[in-house]
Amino acid sequence: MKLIKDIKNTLSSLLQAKSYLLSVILTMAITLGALVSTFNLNYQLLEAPLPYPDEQQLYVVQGNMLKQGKVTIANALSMPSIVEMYHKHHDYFTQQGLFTFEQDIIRSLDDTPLVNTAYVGPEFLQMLQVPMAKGRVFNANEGIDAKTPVAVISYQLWSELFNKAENVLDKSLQFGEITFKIIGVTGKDFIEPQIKRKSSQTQVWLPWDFNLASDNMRFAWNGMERPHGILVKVAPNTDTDSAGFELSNLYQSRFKDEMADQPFFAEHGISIELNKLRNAIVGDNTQMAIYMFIGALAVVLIATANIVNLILSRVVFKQRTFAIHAALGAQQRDIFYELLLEIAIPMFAAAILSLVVATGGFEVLKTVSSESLPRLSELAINWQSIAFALLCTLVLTVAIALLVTRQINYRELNSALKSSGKGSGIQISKHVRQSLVVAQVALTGVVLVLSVQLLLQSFSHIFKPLDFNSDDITEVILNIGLKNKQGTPEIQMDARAIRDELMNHPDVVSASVAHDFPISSYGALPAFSGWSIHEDKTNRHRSAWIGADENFQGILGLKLLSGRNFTPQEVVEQQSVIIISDALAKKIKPDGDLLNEKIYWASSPYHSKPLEVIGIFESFTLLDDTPLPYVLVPRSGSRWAKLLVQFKPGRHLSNAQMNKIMANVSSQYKVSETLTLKQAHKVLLAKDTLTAWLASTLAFFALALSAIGMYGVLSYNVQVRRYELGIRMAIGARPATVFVQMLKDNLIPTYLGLVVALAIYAILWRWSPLKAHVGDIDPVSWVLVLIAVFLLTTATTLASVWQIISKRVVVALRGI
Amino acid sequence: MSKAIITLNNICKVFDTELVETHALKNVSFEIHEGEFLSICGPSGCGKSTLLSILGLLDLPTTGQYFIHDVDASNLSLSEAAYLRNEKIGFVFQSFNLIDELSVYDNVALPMRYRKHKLSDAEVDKKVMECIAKVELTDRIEHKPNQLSGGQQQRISIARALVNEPSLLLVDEPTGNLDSRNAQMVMDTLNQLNKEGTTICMVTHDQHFADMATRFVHLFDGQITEQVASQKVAG
Repeated sequence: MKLIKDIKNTLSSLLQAKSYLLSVILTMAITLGALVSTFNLNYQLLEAPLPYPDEQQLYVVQGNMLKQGKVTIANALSMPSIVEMYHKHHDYFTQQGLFTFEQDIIRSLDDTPLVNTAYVGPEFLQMLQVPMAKGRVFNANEGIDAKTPVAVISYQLWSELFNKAENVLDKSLQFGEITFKIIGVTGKDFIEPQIKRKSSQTQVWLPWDFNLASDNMRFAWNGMERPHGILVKVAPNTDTDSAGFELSNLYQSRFKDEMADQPFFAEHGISIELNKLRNAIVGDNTQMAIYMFIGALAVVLIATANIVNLILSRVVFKQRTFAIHAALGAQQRDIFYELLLEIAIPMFAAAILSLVVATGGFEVLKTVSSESLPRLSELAINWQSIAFALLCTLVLTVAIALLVTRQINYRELNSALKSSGKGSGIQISKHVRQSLVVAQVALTGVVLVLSVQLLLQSFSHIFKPLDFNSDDITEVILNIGLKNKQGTPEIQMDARAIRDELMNHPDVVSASVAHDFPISSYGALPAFSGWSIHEDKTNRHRSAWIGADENFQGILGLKLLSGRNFTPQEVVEQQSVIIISDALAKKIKPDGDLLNEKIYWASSPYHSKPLEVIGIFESFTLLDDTPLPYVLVPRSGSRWAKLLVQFKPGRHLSNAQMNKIMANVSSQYKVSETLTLKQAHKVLLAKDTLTAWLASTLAFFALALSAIGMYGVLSYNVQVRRYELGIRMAIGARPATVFVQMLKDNLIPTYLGLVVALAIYAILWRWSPLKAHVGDIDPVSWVLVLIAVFLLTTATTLASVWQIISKRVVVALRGI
Repeated sequence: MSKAIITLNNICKVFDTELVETHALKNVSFEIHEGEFLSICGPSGCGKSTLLSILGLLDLPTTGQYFIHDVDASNLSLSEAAYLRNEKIGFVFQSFNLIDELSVYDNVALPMRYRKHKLSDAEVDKKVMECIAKVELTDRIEHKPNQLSGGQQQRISIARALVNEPSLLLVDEPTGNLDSRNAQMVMDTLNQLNKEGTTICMVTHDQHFADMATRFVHLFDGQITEQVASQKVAG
């Protein structure tokens, strides 16, 4: 009863200091939320059981290619070796499941959507005991070599493609030339083990027999591709090290036999080990997760320091209350109890709020780290997170209460009443207070400068317009179906025919066949190659290159400085001519006059003949202001056929419409992927956009935490000087004069903090890889930070002194 | 009769809390005339300090009118009140209220820093030294307050109150924290200042010192119960 009453009284007192209460709760909730997020991530990666039965018995067979005993290709096995392993009986495995991951288009749908596919043996899904929303997984009749065209689709695809139709099991999907009957839909709760595919989930599971590996790959013992593998369930009490050793010997011997006729592989071999499914999923990501946890912990500690300042300030404000308690006989432990309640209430409120923040943190992690961290889909508030948040809060509450109690001079408290509030039983030296501000500003200064520098860099990329046309231009990647069994010349002629068909459409301005785009769908630049003016191909100059037809240059609006464009004949016959950018021309020859000169394709063993420069175009830039060296080679596509389509303003063709047009040439050609050039530009800027967001968030939190921390210290300063300020006002100091005086006093440690920040930054810049990431010190960043810190100091000074200067002088003098 | 510096008309002060409403002053009216030495006395809790806070523009009355030199000071902004207080009123507090970090000289010079119309350094120096001389502590100008006795600290606070040549000196229990010898010395100083023309309004509950005033106002329960010339004048 007493405790409840005490809590009520303390809560009532705290509610009268709403800004203090809000500051403590928000500071701790946000930072503790971040800590809980990273704790949960580490728990998922290091401790949480996998959501599969008998997970301790599930292993992935991991192979390495060796040369002279050293690993040359890690974590890979050839397809024939895993297929042979599957067919062979091994006593230590009770089940083995083949798998490989691909992407393909669904040809039976008009818009031919590109989906993530997995080709698996029936045992793979059986071992995972996949929960099903509908139907079943593959059975023995659909196993290896059965060639039964059936498919299991994901819950997500069922929702998106079939709108959760009840009759989905009556439907089928066409991949390539084969129609697969849907026999099952995985359950909503099924979590796919991210063995080889980190960021995206499989949408369609197909039998192993239909995998897209080329014939070469199927039979090449040296084809160490990474997307395939074999999942095994080991028999109970199996010594997995011995099993791996035995497999190594067996398949090393098989590898040697198969490669005996290839001397290049004489010194090569393979090694095999059994890797726990958990380790195969988590990989070496634990270190990154631990770093994230340590970072969050550091932020919590900074926040705790800020909260201690705030609480000290509050305690000074309440010292009269404590003094009365002391005068009435309260012991030091009673004061501790009072403080503990005072601190515990906002801290535990923050702990509850931190769970909400952590939930948001999970979403941020999923957005930011889906490419690099596994098991993110499993992140959720669980009892471990709640226990961790409560434990942290308990430890911090007791630690803060002890720390603050130690600051209270119990003996001085007794005299506090006598001196009309002039003295203080709670005193932190001016030197310590100023040091706190210096440290706070120094840390904030470094973080702010880094953030602002990164932000400015990112903005310079994000807001830089493209140097070439990007309006209404779409990149189209084609799926060539069975045409991949035909020769390149036929595909090239088809590609030109498709281009011409598209150009006949009234919504299309122009179209071009190219083997690559100026910015690809992955945000990457085209391939680079070496070019030389010398016949012996020495003194090479690196340049991006694209094989493109005669329309490419016009669609992008590349400006010819001299010479001419390709003729259709040059493209069709792939004649030995090229068009280059002036940046490459100037690299090769300082005056840039390379028109009609011969250049050698130094990196390509297939091009020994020189290429004549028939045109030089004005270089364009992409992210920074460096003109890109570029080469255009006359080509009409290849097996990786791509089209650049320029539409009339505001017009567009859907995948289905383009598929229909392409069917005039051959029904084998389908749209695999489309992306506008503006979208591709966004993909290229994704890293900068993410950096800008992260830097802004970091700067915001640094400023917010610093503001709270500085407010704590400055507010404490004001509480300590409250009586003195009252005297100054009593003898005529105006509110503005008092504020300016306090601001002057506060700006000294503030700017001292910035000097320390500059020193820390200079050391980091000089001795760490920082320079490589953030570039040279930009004075603009420092000016912006200087202004930000000035405004921060002004705002926190005003906030801390407001309670004195906004009231009648008598309030400060009486301490009411 | 000389001109009224201060005029109070029906001043009321009510302190409002959630549970109770305390009427600290009830319809208080009186004047303070130029050259007068007025003493306000009464028992603890009668409203003396509240009245002094209002007189010194440290607080506002809830209702009523307050004039300083015919300027209505009943509802001034914080800034206007600060200027008026700085120019027209000098304060002497019971607990001296000197700033520990500043020297005696700087404490006395402090009000001059807050003047609307700033003086030159030489003028400031002259005035500060004059005021310190008046309280006979010229040899202590470099000392910090905690190096002085209580009486000396109070005399320095009187010097500080005089430095801007205020029309009115408000003195709050000047002897409350002093022994009898020091208390007498401070009262002698105040008497001397009054003789030289300084108008003084002093709050005290010590009848002996209250009798040194030319007039006294007796407060009880927030109301003036008596307003008479003191024995000194009567005598």
